[in-house]
Amino acid sequence: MLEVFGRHPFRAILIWALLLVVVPFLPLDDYVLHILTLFLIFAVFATGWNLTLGILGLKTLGHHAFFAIGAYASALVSHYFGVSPWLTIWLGAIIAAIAGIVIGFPILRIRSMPHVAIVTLAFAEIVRLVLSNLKEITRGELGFWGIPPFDPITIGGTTVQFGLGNAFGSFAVAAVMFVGVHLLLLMLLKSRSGLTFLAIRDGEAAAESLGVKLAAWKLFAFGVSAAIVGLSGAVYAHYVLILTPTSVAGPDMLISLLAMIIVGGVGRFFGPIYGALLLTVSSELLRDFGDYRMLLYGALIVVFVFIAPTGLAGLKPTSWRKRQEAASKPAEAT
Amino acid sequence: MSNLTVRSLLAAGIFGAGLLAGAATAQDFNVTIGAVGPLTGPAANTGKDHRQGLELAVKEWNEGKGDYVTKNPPKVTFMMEDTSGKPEVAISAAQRLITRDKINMLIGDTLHSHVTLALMELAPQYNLPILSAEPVSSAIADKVKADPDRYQLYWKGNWNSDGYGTAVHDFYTWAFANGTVDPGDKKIAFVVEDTDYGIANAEKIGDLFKADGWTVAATETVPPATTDFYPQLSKLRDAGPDVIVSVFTVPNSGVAFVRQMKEQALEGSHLAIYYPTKPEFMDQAADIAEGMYWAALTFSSELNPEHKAFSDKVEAEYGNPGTYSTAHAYCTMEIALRAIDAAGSTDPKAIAEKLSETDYDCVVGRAKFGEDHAVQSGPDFIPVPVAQIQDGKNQIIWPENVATAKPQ
Repeated sequence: MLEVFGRHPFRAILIWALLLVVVPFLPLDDYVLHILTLFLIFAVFATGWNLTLGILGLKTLGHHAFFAIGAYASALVSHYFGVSPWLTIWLGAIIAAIAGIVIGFPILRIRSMPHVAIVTLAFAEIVRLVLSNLKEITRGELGFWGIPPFDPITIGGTTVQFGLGNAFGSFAVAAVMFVGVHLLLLMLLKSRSGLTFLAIRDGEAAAESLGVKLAAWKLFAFGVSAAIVGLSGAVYAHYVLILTPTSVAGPDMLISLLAMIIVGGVGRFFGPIYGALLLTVSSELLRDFGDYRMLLYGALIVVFVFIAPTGLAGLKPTSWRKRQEAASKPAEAT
Repeated sequence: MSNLTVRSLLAAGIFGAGLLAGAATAQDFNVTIGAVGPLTGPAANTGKDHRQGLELAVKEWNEGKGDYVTKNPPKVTFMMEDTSGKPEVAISAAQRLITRDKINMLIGDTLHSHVTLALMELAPQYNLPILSAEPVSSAIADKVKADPDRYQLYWKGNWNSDGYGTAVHDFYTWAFANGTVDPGDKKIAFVVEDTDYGIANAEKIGDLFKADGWTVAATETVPPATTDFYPQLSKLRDAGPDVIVSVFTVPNSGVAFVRQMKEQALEGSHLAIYYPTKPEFMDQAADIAEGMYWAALTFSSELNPEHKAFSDKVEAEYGNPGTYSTAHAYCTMEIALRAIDAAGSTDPKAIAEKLSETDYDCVVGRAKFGEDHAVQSGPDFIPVPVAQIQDGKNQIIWPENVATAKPQ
């Protein structure tokens, strides 16, 4: 449990929340707020995916499909039926959850992890192709535009706007989602459910012998994971205001998010957050290197995988590690 | 001192102060222009061409070699950021240019329509003039027409998708009428890349042919940079189309398609869109593509002395010949610079107004914006000629008034 959550996970979330509350009061321009908004959205996406990939131990490679489903569902309903995005984002999450449960059924029968990876990858490709070919509704690769931003909110005489170019409002939405999702997920995982997930990851047969209903728990995990990813996709849609199947369900999205989870730490609760922060921010910082940007970005991922094979969340200060090693040694007779 | 002397001194002083103020104003008129385009990813080659064209135009402008509107043109600072062809990355890049570099105008996206659909939202939000370069999707113009007030600062530096569609349709109508191509059973098929560019062109051409009584036998979409077309070609063999139209922006896709099409010995007239504009295509496939029709030969250093001069200029500066993309980016920057120069300030509305009045002959043709804020295409504006590869070289075969050879 310590390996997954760290020492004081609730305290860590509180610190994140405090940091995010302070950010709008800092003299930051819209560009920085935009980068932080993307980081928060992708961190939630990566955390949702990590639930099945790392914590449950199922090597799924199709979660970008749930991101696309959440994004398109929310965008289409708000666009065609005039429903407020404040409501449609939840619809996007629910539809993604249903899709997660549906794809969870065939996975229950597959024990081989490479096969799980291929099935989920194929599912994502099907979603991308369906979104591409439903041109009358999604406009396919022509791009679905006309997505409304979140409705403005008036607080104490001040109206907060959302969507592109309204950096503060968009950051606030992403920050609330980030804190809310991580807090609720942590509460879930610190309960019996979390222990059950870890038991399934560490030994399915052993867990089953102890009375754990594998099928039900796996479907539950898939549903929750897909709902979180779908919610992040829905918020993304009402922020960026344009969707194409390739940009949300294409291989680039798969690779970027997988890199965030691996660099941050697969199976560690805070790993995807660190990975999303590092890769989203470094991708922008490296702009100063011009044509070498993507080369350095790739090299950065390789370096971090080498120096932190268990992810950034698995890094421990040397002194702490030494203390732990000392504590684990048996006392010598004097 | 007499009153006359005092008045003369006063007048001279005011005149001198005015001159100094004027000089100061002229010197102080600096503008910063940012651009965003795909400098990495599958379209990086085109992005590189765009950067060269944009940089060259700015360099000439600052060195006193520009085509100025006023006598006091602004000094220009230019910078370009990478989008990787993704909307959210493009927005990051644009916001960096807007908030960090304080740009007065944005050129973007330089290639992708779906990226432009996202970027154009920044024009009203940041009160910033935005001019896209090569994107053609009519969806962009539709968006402007749907809410002209909101997008009054956004302008589209290329024609709409229907420019290609109309040209291809009109060319074939002409070719059927004079017996150059046999319409057969009146079946047309498309193999296009799965992008807004490929699909929009296929839809427009298909609609125009259907209006003439044709049927669309197949519309096959493939991911960008595909090089295996055997599944699509097998389907086309069964469908037996009389006209096949292929659209790719990556030249390697074009080379592979043409090669595999020849292997499969498909009958029917083949017309290619965009990829033959790339020198890489002609280097690799000129022999196997013999007799192929393609659109649009808007830039040819072999046939057009003005294009040759521009290509040589690019080669002298960068060590590689100029392409259509280099020339188009160069013209886009020229249009932007002239509008700012004519506006005499960096006021966004003044720049937009001068953009709307643009009527400028550049190396790729005459640029004039329509009511939908898109550059117009056609014989009087930017021409969309159809070419044929004859003896390994490109020849314009349509429209007849600009043709350099008869179709074979």
